[in-house]
Amino acid sequence: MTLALHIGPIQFDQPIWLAVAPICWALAVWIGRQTLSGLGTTSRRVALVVRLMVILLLAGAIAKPQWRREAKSVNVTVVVDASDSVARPVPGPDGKPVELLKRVDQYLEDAAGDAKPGDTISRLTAAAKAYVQSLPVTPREKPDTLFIGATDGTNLQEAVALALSIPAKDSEQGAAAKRILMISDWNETTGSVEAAAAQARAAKVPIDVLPIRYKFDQEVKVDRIVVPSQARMGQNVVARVLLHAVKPARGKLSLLINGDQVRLGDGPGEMDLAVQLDAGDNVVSIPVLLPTPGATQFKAVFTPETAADDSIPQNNQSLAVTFVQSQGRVLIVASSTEEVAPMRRALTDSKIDAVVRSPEEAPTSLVDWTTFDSVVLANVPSDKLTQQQQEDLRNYVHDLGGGLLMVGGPNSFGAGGWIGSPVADALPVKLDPPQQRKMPRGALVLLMHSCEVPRGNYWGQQVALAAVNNLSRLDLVGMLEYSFAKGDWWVHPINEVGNKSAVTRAINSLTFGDMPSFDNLLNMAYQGLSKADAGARHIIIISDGDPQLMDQTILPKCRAARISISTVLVYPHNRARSGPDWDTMRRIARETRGNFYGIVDEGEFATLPSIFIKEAQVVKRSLIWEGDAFTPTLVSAVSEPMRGLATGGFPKLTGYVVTAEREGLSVVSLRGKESDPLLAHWQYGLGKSVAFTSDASVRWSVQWPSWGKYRAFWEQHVRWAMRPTGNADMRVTTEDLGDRTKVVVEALDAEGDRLNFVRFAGRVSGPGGVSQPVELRQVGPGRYEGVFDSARSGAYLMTVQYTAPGGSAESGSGEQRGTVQAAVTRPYADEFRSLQDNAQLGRRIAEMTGGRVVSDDPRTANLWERAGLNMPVDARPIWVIVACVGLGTFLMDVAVRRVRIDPAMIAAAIRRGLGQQVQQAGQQLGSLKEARERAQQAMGPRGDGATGRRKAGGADAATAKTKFEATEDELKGAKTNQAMPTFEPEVQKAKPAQSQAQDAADQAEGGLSRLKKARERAQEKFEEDDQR
Amino acid sequence: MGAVASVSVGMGGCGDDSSIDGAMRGERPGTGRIRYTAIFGGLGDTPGRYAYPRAIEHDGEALWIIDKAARVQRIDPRSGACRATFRMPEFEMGKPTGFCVAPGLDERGVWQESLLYIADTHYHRVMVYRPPGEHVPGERKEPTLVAQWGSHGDGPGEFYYVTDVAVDVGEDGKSVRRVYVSEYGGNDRVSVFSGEREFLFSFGKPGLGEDPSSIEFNRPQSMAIRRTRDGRRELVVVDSCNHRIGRFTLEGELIGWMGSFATQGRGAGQFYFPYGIAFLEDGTALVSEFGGNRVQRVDLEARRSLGVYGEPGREPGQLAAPWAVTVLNDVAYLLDSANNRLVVFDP
Repeated sequence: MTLALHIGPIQFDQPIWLAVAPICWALAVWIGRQTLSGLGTTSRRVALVVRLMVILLLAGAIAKPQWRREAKSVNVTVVVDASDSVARPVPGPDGKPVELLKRVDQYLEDAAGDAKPGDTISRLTAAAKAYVQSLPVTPREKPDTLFIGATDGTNLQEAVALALSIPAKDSEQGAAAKRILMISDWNETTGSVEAAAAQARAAKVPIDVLPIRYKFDQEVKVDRIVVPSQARMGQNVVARVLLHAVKPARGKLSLLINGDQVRLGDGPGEMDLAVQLDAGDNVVSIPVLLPTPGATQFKAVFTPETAADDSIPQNNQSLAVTFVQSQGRVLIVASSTEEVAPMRRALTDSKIDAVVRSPEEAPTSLVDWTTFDSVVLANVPSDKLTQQQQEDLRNYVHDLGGGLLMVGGPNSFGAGGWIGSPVADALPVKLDPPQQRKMPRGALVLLMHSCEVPRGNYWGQQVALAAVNNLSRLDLVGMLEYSFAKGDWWVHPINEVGNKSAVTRAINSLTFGDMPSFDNLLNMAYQGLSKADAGARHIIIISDGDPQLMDQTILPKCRAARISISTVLVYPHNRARSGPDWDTMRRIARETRGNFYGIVDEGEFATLPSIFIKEAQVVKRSLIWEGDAFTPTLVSAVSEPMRGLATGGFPKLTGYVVTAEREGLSVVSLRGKESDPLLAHWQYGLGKSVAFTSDASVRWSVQWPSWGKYRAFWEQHVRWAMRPTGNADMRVTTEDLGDRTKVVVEALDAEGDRLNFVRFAGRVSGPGGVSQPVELRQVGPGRYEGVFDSARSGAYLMTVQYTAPGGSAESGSGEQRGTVQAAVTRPYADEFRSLQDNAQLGRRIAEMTGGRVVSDDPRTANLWERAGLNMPVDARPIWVIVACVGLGTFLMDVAVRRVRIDPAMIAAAIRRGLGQQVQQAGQQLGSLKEARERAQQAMGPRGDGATGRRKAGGADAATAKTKFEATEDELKGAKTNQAMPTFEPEVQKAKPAQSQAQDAADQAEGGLSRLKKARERAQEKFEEDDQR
Repeated sequence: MGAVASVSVGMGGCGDDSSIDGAMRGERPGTGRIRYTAIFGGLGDTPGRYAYPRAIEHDGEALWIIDKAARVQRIDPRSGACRATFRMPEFEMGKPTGFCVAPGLDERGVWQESLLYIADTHYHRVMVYRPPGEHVPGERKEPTLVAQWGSHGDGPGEFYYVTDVAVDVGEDGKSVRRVYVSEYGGNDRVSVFSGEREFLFSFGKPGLGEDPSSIEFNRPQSMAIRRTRDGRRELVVVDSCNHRIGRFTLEGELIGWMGSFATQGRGAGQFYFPYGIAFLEDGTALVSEFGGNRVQRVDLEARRSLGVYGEPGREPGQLAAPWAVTVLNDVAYLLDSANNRLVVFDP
């Protein structure tokens, strides 16, 4: 590869070709001495120079010339570390807390004075993720900080990569040079900034660093709490709390088990344990009695005696989980204890520990759900559980192997708003009715106006999806909005829900225009619903309440047509729960017998989907079948939970919620009218679930509690769904690998021998309900290992189902199955682990990339420094232009040799043009003739050689002589006789033809021009002869 | 009052003009697009850019624009550059939707030719500001509060949601005769105050009616005081959700409507959510239609349309929810609100 050569603004990519030029020049000079000898001195020199130029230009064109334009501007991309470790107050030089981030804007503003015209600045924030805050703007512009995302981590690698991708333009719209300025404490928790710095170095973008310096001299942190991963109910365990103190400190330690504080103090009422910590690591051991079965969460909290002893409160606590084994524990969630009383009695009689709770008392965390081996939802509507609770419940079944039984009632299954919910995924029946079922349907219209709401487009789509997903396929749905382009319009005309693809597309196309008035839209909704073939008709309005409602007739018309309207007022201008927007929305709901909801704070927005789910149920009562008592049809008696129940038949039922059979592994045991599923079960992930679409006792199954097999019916189904315990001894340990956790399982059989060839199926449910599989592989005799990601702070619950060889006689399968559980906790973000900055890393990054450690004083920081920068060059190929110029010059070469320019004649012509009168053609002819005679006289006595050559030309030569022109033969002879090499063969070959053509043209022009040319040639001859 | 020699294509910005999108020029005949001479702005939070601008006025030399980020900017009409800027002191509950630039006594009792009378819509009040000085990049200059009045309520001098303010200046040009304040939200009416901001009377009530004896408004979004050809002054109210424009005497008596709820539409002479109004030197009006995505030139007295400019869209020359328009030296300046830009055209 050849290095480029720069000559001024021109760059030659293959300059080697320029070296050809001098060689060709030498040849051209040598050849020129021979071939140009017939020209006058000046002409020869000019011709030679022109030839040299042609050679140079052609060589230049081959050398790939480019026109360079070097950038003059610099863009500085400022990466501000906005993570918690920087955003928190840190000790200043005087020991007082300082909020360093607040100084960044002022620093940049003060530093802006160094910028030159055309220089720009762009900004990024770096925390758990990096976000662009501003594309390049002039240095004095101060953009507002936008979304910075989660701040519980620092990913400087992503920030540098993002900074490198920001386009920077100079004032002439070419690329500007780039610098990156990183303002950080350099305590990264994710990724490797050094890897990104290598990219920056490759891109020749220097990274300047402005380190944020701090050091916490007084700090205590709870490193971790250590408890056994598994224990038995009623066992005493020792919780060991590991604390680290920078300096000796005093404080109190408290311990909470499942949120309840354990009494540690000696004195009456003293809950906390007074501790005296030495500098360095300290261990406090606390013996505790495990109170409840299932997952038991321990939380240790340290409170310093004086605030000065501790600087970072976020790292003063730690979490751990122990799984306490029990013998079958079931949670029954029911709105009415009376309704589930027979069921509970049946379970208790079967020695199953059954706990009844209302939906409001249902577990609120995944850990809480795991304290039960199975959960029964008895006639519970979906809106009674939050979205998070529903997701936790699904994860509890799918990932942690828990059991789920949904029991019917008018508020259960599809009629209870469970369609489209996370729990619906876990059920062995589909909550939508079969397509072929003929049943009355509901019609729902959504009137969408959420543009004034923070993240209004997002929430608008979420609530619309929540409502639509809750409808059955036979229901009708329509959607109205105000669009700037279309005004008031049907985004989705009232139509059957079907597979929801059309309405989902419509939801995605919502534009959320700023609706000025409800009048037209409500009239459109009224007209649409009036024509709809539906039993229940309902409208839901979401709005900030400021559209006008002046049509006083529309609400009475809706009420007369039995169209109810529920209004959801979100983020109104008036937050005081009164005012015109509140009045309007309340009035609409009140006058049409709908419900009104007022959502003021952003914190309440998460409840919006559940409101829409609940409201959508208004049109869904049609999913309930009620009628004359009938006997359920037995479909399958051989399945495990139905064993022994089929004989003698089943009691009659008078109602159930219509669902559809789910294809796949679901097993339907009983059917109702029109073959609707009544009882079904299946395995879902690691867990199992059962659906019984009639109720538990009071409404549709009043004969069932007196049925002789009632107890066995519920016991068998609940036990089937319960998480298996197993007989094998599985010892689980975990190891922290930073962002990941290693799981080690030591498998022993009942005799204590190592178990080999065990098959595991495991999942880990992490913070935020994020689930991931974990694969365990045998690495030694009875030893199995696996790894899962555990980067986020929070609790990670792992459930592994195993299948091991050597089953008992009871199982009859030759295999033993069971479940093993473990938990890992990351109590606080790694952001709070570092007690001082890591400026050394920043310096290393600067050195790697050719950057600087910039001054704390913005006036001397010179952020837009040019030194060391690789200024971008905009290079455009110009070989075509150079080649064209070369070609033009080549033509000039021909012209120089073929066209005689007579300065004297030009001067004469100018003189004539300036003042003299135009002479008659005859006079010109006369003077030219005189010139010819003078020339003849002058040539007469000279060179015979020349005369001889003319003679050799024969008759033509005579003509040429008369005209003072060289004949063609003369020209040919002059060149061919000399037999000289030539580098312009084509031109030479063309000369005779050109000459002939020229002669013909001359003849056509007449005598005047011929005489002129003759005179020119004669003069040339004179000059040549003179020189000789 | 200064003069603007011509409207030119250029760059906007505050202090330097490099931060703003280049203006565009041209039209596409036959597509209904507006024939513009310049477009300024673009989405942004920096000076010279806008985040859904909703109100525009002029002070005789420059334009004033308020956007949905509660920023008040003074804009050079020739370059689109920002010459002054400030943010409303409170905007958590909502941002102003209308204002006017008019003379008046400032907080020191000194006569000022240009005060900003801002309808602080969601705070149920009118704020009067003496504008800040020339903008200097990197410096934030605040305006001086001259006066404020109003509170939430439907009583005399109280407001629901204030939409616009119009000031009637005395014939001598050195006194304020009356201040008109429009509002919506269920108390749709126009309240009239003296030059000393004392409540005088109000007219109008919420409704769709067209009965001249009972004036009804449905979101009177903007107002203007115009001088008729015979020299009389009258108040013009844009009754946006009734899709009409009303002419009133300064005493609040109806002179006539143009348009109606029943005849709402996008045809010539019809209105579809008209929001803004401004008058040309020949007395004809330019009406910006929020719902119609166009500007209509109308003769209010003859009740006929003289021309329609614009069509819905995002391209240059197309409009998206234009809230307001003003006229300076017979050149129209239109807020293309949902496109976050200022369109300059010669009607």
